[in-house]
Amino acid sequence: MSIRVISYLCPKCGAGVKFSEEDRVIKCFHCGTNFLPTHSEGIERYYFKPQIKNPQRKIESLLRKNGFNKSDYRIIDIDKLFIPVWRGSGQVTGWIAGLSPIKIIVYTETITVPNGRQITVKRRRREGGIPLKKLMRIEKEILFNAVKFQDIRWRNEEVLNADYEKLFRVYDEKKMVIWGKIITPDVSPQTKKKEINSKFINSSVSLYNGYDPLRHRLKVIGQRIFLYYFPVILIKVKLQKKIVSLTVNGLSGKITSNTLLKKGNAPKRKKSLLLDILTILTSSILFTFLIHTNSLFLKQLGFVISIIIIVYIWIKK
Amino acid sequence: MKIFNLLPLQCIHCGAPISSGCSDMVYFCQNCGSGLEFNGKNFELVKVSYASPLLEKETEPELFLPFWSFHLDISIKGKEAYLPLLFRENFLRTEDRLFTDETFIEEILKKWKNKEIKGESDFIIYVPSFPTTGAYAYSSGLGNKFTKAQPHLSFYEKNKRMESCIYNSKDALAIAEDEYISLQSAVIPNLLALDLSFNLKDKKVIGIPYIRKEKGIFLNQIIGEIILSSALKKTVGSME
Repeated sequence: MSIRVISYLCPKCGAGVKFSEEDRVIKCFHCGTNFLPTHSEGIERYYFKPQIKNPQRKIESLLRKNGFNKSDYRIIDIDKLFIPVWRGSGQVTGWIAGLSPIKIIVYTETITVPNGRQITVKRRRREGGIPLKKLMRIEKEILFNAVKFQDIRWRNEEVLNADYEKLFRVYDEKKMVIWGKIITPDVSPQTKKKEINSKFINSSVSLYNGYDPLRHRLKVIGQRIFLYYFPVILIKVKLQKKIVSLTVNGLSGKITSNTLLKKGNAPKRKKSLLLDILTILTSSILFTFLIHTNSLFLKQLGFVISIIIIVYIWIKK
Repeated sequence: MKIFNLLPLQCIHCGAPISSGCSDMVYFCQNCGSGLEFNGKNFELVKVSYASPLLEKETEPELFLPFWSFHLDISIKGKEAYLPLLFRENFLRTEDRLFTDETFIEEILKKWKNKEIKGESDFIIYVPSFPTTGAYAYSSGLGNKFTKAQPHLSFYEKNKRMESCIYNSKDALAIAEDEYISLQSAVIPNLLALDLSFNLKDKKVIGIPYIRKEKGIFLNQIIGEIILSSALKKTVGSME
């Protein structure tokens, strides 16, 4: 991933300090002081400065594009939210011991039978299952949503998008609440730290396909836990008697919906169904009338008309 | 409580400002030579020593690379055994044993009880902790070689300039445990099956002296290992 640069003010001289997301020590080039960035609970928190000024207009324009008139929809709720996303990184290091994968090897062997003839026979042999030990060190990175939010549909990978670097800021509750609500993660950072550790270790063990780990002494070193707050706007729209949730990405303005927005399909379908029923009714009356006449020509005409109607409905479907 | 804070890097021993690399985990005071480590809340002092050369003594070292050294008491949980002794190759004959052979552990304990531990109480594990470029997989051997050599070090009285140290004591200790198992598993095949406990008796950062031998090559003045200068990552320089 790209390493993002963050701007901050030096607490000693007030000059602008720029540092990378990965830095553990920060230097002010104006006064020369070195600083150690410290984060509450050891969690590095950042947020993205929202860019979308008028999400309501964006939604309206989308609905218009999809063929909805102003009378078809009504915006009933707008929520501006900072959605948290966890990121964990570190190195899994340690020893793993276990049994190598067991394989059945099929091979052929030429043997001499009592009458002196040589024949080829198929044999099987079992391989593997021997104790193995391995020292491993693997870099790990994990990213996942910190809240379960059914209505919001978006990709949490967006937090690593390098295009948003200029909007990347150190967590500042005062500035953030002016824009919207800050959602609290579902679990505490301490629980998350343990969970990320065990996820890292389990995924490292699972690298050994078919390998039967009897014991491992794996640990996570250099662990860093990040919480990124991403701005999203949740808009609820009453659309032809249905309530639809739309999510606007607070940075790119991209809209996602929890349902498929189709260009005025619903009323059309109703009209077309009514037309079909009317056509069938008229044709059945005409067909009944025509086949009950004495003229052979009219009877044949009745059959032809009914066949044309059936074919028309079938093609339409 | 403020969620993000910039803590000025200042020596807690003499109060002088400290200049450090952007990926450092131990901060060395250029004024009094103290080492500092951040424990999440406060700075803590770390013991720092600079080893004087054992090889090419007449040449003044050009740089001091940090190695964590841990004095550990390693035992099998619930049983009294000083395991570092077993690391001596003549102590136990290597045999292929099953992973959970209880009698084998009993045998180790019996041998331990019959053995005297004169002069064997100091067992130090060394963990190289300076930044290297990706090309040089450092954990691969130098720490093991140092630990195996158990050099008798003498130290400078005056402080020197230490290069960047990228592991804090917690992470370095985790690496030290791996290193110990790497060494011992050559002697005890089923070591991982044992429930080992690592009790830390003492820890410090030792500056190991290096001299420039030829262009692009540095020589370790303690055990004579060489390292390419291209393998050393200069983090302090990158900040200045």
